[in-house]
Amino acid sequence: MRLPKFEYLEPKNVKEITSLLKKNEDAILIAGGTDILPKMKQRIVTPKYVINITKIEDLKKIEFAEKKGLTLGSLATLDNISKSKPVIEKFTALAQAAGRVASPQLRNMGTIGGNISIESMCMYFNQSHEWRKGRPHLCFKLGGDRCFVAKGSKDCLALFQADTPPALIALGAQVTIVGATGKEKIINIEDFYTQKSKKVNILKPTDFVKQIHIPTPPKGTKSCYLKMAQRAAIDYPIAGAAACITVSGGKCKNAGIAVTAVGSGPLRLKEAEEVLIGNSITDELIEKAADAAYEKVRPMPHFNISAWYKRKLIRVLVKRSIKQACSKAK
Amino acid sequence: MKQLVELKVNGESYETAIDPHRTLLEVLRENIGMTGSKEGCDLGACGACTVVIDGKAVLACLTLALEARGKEITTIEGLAKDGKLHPLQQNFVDHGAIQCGFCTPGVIMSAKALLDENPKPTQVEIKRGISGNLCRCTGYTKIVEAIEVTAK
Ligand SMILES: Cc1cc2nc3c(=O)[nH]c(=O)nc-3n(C[C@H](O)[C@H](O)[C@H](O)COP(=O)(O)OP(=O)(O)OC[C@H]3O[C@@H](n4cnc5c(N)ncnc54)[C@H](O)[C@@H]3O)c2cc1C
Ligand code: SF4
Ligand code: FES
Ligand code: FES
Repeated sequence: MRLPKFEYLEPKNVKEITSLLKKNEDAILIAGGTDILPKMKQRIVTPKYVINITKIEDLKKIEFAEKKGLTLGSLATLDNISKSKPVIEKFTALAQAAGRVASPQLRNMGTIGGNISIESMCMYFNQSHEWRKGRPHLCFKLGGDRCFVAKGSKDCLALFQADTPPALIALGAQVTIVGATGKEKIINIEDFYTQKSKKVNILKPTDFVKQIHIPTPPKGTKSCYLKMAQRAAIDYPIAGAAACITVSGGKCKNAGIAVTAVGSGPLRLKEAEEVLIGNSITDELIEKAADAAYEKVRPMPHFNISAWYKRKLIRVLVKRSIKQACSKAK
Repeated sequence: MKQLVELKVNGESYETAIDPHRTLLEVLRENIGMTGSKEGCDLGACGACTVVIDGKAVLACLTLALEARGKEITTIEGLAKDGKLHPLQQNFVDHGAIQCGFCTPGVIMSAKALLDENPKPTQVEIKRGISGNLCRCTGYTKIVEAIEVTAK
């Protein structure tokens, strides 16, 4: 499949990204290109301008200092993140999530900024132009008036399934967004998502993600990300769960639990966190937290995965990720 | 509009005029005439187009040719030296790791990047290293053997 024609732009610094985005309507950013180029080949997006930001070396850095925490430039590759020593040691869930994305080649290319910014997916949408043309109507995601997944639904229900966002939520990450005026805005990663499948993140056409920051976790903190997919590589998660647990004096001081591939965005499970916080963690308590997760998620069927299976899987993954985090957090 | 670009492939410079929407895979195969890198899915899911850029295995079908300017690109054509096959290639032949051969260039490029970074990988590391490459003849056991023997 050939790419559609476009004009190619290559900014040399962060300022130039903003001015190019402002000057050119109908432009998209390309980082690793592993998500956007397939979509362009399928004519899901056909921008007039493609802005390749990968020549900006400053945005590729992975920096850690005990006091300052971890700062990931938006262009840090998933491979480098998954192999970075401080990330493996202090932000384990993130190293695990980045290391489970797609395949070695895609992790060498794919960036963290791109990973948090991918759109939701659906078997009626992520198809070739010819395939989509075969249907007489358009669905919501393409500006139409219906959803093929659930007849009668008033909204798009496409699935968000990026691997790193639940880990970033559990670890309490913040995203720095640069807007049209060049001003930086720092938000919690949870607030980066709209929980609407039609447009899953809050980015405006003139915005871009500059970096992601995670404060150093307090002593006694461990984290874990677990993913279940049909094959051990290449596939998106059927479901993924991240847990970050801080234990002090035998009690759970803090907990972050989040899941992916269950709906319109990565989902933080406060109900499950609350079960743990303040208590000494026993197997029984972990079962209760997993029950709370099960109660909270309401997945839709996706390809050949039933909603029932996915919900049960979330229960299991939440349970195991808490257990694995706790087995180290002492 | 076409642009004149210079690509460095297997240590040699190639100049060609291309539109920005051409992928590196298309330019390697159609402009430069190196058809070793294969087009399988063309969507990032099979690894048949794997090449090594600046030491890392990447997918040529999802790389814009313009992006590859100024980088060291290595393709399967760059492995044999002075008419002698690269040890990986020779071992693939000797161990029957090639059936139809379509996935072979991609698998070998993934294996090369792996061995350059980690000369003594475990069997699990080898399997992970080539996990982005599909072999539809499903000859994985022999492929892993050939890579193991090369690493010894
Ligand atoms: C076969 C296959 C399997 C895959 N499997 C997985 C998987 O298992 N898990 C998973 O999470 N992903 C998977 N992916 C998706 C993708 O490879 C990754 O999510 C990757 O991290 C995307 O990063 P990128 O840099 O390549 O993004 P790009 O394709 O460059 O960009 C993705 C989107 O983000 C926008 N964007 C990129 N950078 C920025 C920025 N700095 N600021 C604002 N917007 C930005 C782009 O405009 C685009 O809309 C898979 C893809 C393929 C082709
Ligand atoms: S969930 Fe429904 S509206 Fe959304 S992309 Fe799929 S078919 Fe279209
Ligand atoms: S052709 Fe590039 S991954 Fe399949
Ligand atoms: S040898 Fe035929 S696809 Fe691998």
